[in-house]
Amino acid sequence: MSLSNKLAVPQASSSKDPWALARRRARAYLSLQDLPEVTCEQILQQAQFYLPAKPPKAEAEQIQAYLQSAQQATQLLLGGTYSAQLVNSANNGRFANWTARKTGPKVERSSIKLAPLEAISLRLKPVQAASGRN
Amino acid sequence: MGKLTQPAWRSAATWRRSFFFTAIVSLTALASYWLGAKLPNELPWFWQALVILPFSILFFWLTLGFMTAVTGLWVMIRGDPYRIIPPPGSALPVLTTKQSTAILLPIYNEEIAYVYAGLKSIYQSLEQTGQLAHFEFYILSDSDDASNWLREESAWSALCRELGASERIHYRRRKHRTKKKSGNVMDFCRRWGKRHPYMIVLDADSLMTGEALVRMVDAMERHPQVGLIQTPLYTIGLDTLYARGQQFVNRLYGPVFFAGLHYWWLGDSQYWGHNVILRTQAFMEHCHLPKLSDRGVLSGEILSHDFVEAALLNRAGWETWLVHDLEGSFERPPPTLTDALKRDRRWCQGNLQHWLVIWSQGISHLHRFLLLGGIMSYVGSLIWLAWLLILTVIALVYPEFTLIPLSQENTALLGLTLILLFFYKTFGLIQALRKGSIGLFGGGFALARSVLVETILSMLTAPVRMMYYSKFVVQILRGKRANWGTQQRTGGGLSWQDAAREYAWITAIGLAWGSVLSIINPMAFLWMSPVLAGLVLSIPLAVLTSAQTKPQSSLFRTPDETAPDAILRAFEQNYADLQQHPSLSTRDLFIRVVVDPLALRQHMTYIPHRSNVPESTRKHRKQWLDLLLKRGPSAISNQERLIILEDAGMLCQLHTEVWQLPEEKFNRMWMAKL
Repeated sequence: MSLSNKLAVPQASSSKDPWALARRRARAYLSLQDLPEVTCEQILQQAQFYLPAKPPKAEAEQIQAYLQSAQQATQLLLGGTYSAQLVNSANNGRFANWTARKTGPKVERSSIKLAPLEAISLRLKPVQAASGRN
Repeated sequence: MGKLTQPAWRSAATWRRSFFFTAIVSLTALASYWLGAKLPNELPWFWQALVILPFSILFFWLTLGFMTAVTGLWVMIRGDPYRIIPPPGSALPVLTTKQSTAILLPIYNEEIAYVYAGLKSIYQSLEQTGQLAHFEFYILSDSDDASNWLREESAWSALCRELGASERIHYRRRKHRTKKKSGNVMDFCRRWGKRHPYMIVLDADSLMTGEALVRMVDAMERHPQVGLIQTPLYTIGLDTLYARGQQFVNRLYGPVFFAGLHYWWLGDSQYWGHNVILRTQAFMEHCHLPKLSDRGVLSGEILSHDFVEAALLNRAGWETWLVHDLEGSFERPPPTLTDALKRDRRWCQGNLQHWLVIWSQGISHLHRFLLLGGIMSYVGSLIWLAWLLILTVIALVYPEFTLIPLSQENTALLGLTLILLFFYKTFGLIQALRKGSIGLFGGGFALARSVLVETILSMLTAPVRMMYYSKFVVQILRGKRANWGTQQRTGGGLSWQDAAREYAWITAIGLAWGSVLSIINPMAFLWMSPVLAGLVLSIPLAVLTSAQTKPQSSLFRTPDETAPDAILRAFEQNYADLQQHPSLSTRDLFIRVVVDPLALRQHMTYIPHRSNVPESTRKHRKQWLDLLLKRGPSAISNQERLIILEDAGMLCQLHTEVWQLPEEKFNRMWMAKL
């Protein structure tokens, strides 16, 4: 499914619902995480139980509150899977228990010396033999 | 084949080089004598010296090319006992190496579909040999364009998933991009050099068959005294007239020249920067290039590192070989004359720097000579131009003299020059006849036509190159630096306006030069006319050679088009597939990484998580974050994006705050562009 399809989430049920925008945003967020639609719906429904009784006035706070609730709901439904971490990251601005995956084999650092490129001296002095196999 | 003993090839090399250079010097001396003997006696001696000296230098290098072709033909007909890889057609060895060989793919803002299609084709080719387990791939990115970086990551991840190769194909992007490609390779050595006894260095447009790779590793195993094996490079894959001409020349005459180079280089081969296998520890111990500390215009980082690295390996006692008849090593030519000249501008600067390296202690005399050869490939043009100007001045100041009278010596000189310039072409034809590959070049008629057209085109483009190379040398010696950017690897179709803008100065010089000569000294004008024609026709020449040709055209047909190797066919398919791949979408991937939690998660795995970012830096970056939230993703520059993308904490904060933006802003600035 393309991203645009994923994001074609249904509008909130009622324009008078104070949580409509926040719910829509949470739905969009969950839809980007490759979770089955049914699971997303379950999380959203569950999230309602964790919302504060009185919605915050600011939009941003509403969204944050809803995403936090969604996080709690996700943890309840899915346990400690990465999806929970993602919701967590969206709320906290950090990847709490994140472990970076290696993008290469284990590094075994070597120190490397610069090759000398001193110019030939016309003065008569013993030339230092180049180190190497011979 | 027994183990190669060093003294055997060393004494052969001494004998061969003695013969080779004696022949070159003798021919040069003879030609210079012929020229000097018939110069007008009335011409002052310093003018005579100014005619003969540059001529001798130019003739020396011309003869060197010819002698390389002659000895190449000899090697191809007689064979050569001094070789480190069994002849073509012998059974594919079975590798027994315990540690894997690293295949390095250093890239810098390249066309990702092309690069990854090449990598995938090499991977598949190795898989077919059954010896993939002996190799690991490293994509070493120096890309400094945020979108390119994210695309590279995304395409790498997709490729690993598709091939099931996440443990075999690695991706690393350097944050601190010092010393360009040589620094990138050395960075690999510093991190993973201990893991891999050998490393095969590719270029972004390289293709190598699995068979060639296996043979190279096997040769390194059997010859522990060898530090480097360079493969002959065959150019493939483009359809502009210029590129196809290069591909044709490379395929028809290349084998003879590669064999000739092998004849006199033997175990002191040069290194051409890619499609090469290196002994990692030897390379690490001896090839870390210092900055040239001289305060002149040639100082700074060594730009053309390959020639120097081969010289340093040799200095340390390691053999370096060119395997002249190994098949399966390909690269792309520049698509147009203009692109080739742009590349030459960079190479010219790099090669001129070698003047400082030539005088370094311990470098072998042959490598000093090879470094000088690299310099002369550009300075030679300036000498040629100077020589033509000297002839012109004499023709104008002494119009009564016939500078090159029709004498027996001058006829012989003309004949010899023509032989040196053109006769080697018959060697390529002889070789094609011997191998029965005339049909692969499109048949006898098509081959003859291609040779003729290519000869005319190369005659006409040579003066254009002369002018540009002379300009480059002068610019560099005056301290103007080249921009060492991404090489143009595709394209064509130069417009007349662009061509006029680029080449008008050459046309103007050609017209002025020709007009003056034709009025004052018509005979000199006639002698000079082949050069003047190239200058005057430079604009149409650039346009014509940049035109796309039909793939089925018999002009400049090569065996790689008529009967392509399996890897070339696989590459075409892979390239077509990858161009359609969603991971290479042209959408702004910065937005995607900021918004899409999965893309963010993937990106977060590639970057270090630093907690010690100073508070002042953090405050500074916070200002960019505020700008992004206020004005959207285009509010900050590419460089600022790169910094945000490398800062895990900042990126997560941005992700969070974007998702908390008011509805209208969120949709308009971010989601609509996702």
